[in-house]
Amino acid sequence: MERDDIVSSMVLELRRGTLVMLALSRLREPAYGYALVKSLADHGIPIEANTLYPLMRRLEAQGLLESEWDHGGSKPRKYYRTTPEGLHVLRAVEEQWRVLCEGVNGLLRADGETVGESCADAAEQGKDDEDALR
Amino acid sequence: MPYDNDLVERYLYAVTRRLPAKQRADVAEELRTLISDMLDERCGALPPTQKDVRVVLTELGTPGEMVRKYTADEDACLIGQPYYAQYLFVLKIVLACVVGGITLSSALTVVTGRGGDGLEEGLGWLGSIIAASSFAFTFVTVLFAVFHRKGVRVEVMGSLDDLPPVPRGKSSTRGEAVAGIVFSIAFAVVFLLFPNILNALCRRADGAPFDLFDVEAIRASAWILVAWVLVSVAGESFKLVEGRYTKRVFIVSLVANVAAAALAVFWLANYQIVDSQAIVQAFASTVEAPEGALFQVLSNVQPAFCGIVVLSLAIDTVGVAAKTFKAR
Repeated sequence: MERDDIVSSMVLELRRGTLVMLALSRLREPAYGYALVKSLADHGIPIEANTLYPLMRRLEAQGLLESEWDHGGSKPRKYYRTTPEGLHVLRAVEEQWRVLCEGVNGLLRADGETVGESCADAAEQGKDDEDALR
Repeated sequence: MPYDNDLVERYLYAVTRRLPAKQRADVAEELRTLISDMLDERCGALPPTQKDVRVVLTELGTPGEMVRKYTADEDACLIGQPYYAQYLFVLKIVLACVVGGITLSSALTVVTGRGGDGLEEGLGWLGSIIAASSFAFTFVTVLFAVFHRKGVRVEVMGSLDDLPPVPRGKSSTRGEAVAGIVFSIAFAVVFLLFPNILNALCRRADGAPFDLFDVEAIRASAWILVAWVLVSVAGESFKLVEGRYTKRVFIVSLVANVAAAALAVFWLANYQIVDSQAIVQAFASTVEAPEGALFQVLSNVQPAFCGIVVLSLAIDTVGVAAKTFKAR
């Protein structure tokens, strides 16, 4: 697998993990699926409609979202909204998310510094080896 | 070219027809609006062309992809893990027994000269293999699909307290289950497909052949043998899936053995499978005719055989009970 493919599949996994939280948070105000796709894309989080639509249906089946059809406009639209239970879940997950972010960022920062040092060490070691071979 | 509404409808149909019936209309309407929104965004005030529709539907993903995403969380398989591994194991044993048993029996039929010509035997062998393997495959598949669907749990692993003990020595059910399956299939293959070879092996003392089994009676009662094998293989497969002697294995064994005993009694009481007279005559062809107790036993060989079958099943049940008790 090419490096780019590995990176994009990792990013996809990361995004997938946060999508439920984002949907529950954005749908505090009722919105239809495509409006949510657009609003997430506007915030730099591109999500495909074919991922979001089935997800909203699953969250509805779990009782975290509720939906209502609006046939009044030019097109029939299904509006979703986070239920009180969904809000409870969101609060708990959000709390975990903040703790996780803080921990992950802290570790990445600390390791980044060490990695920087080891890179320099490795370069130095490589130079020594080359000298020894000569 | 104008907007091809038919393509959209065909796309929606292709997606929704593979979803649960109660979701179809709702999903179709929601996706129809989504496609319309995506077309509006792409074309603005201009009317969408067929190419636009194709681009939007391609962006949305193939109907197969859509269905996978809509059904991702569902348990959409016939036999999932952890049953799948056990299913393959049982299937291999059963098919090997069926094919091996039929091949061996066909060979014996030819060797003993009880069969027809070579071509007839060859075609018969092929036909029997295809029919019996298809039946065996279907039965094992349906059986494990039921295990999977009904959620017959392989091991109880709800909490640390429920973890099963490591099997010690003979406390694993695997060997016994495999032996049970092999025996049932071999028995069925010989009795159902090649009853003639049983008679081919019977010779009187003076060398004259005699028919110990009534082949017509065996054929007429084939359904009992099929039922007996199905009960037996189902019981043994459950034992195999469970992996150790538990209360459930005991209950299933008890039920399977009672059913098997009932079938055996019904079979041997209603059909004259063994020709007692032929046995008595065969003995008579030796030095002297059987008398007294021996005559009684030989004349009543079928009830005696029935008694042995019931006794064996009873011993098996007691054995499973003892192992279950020991494994606790």
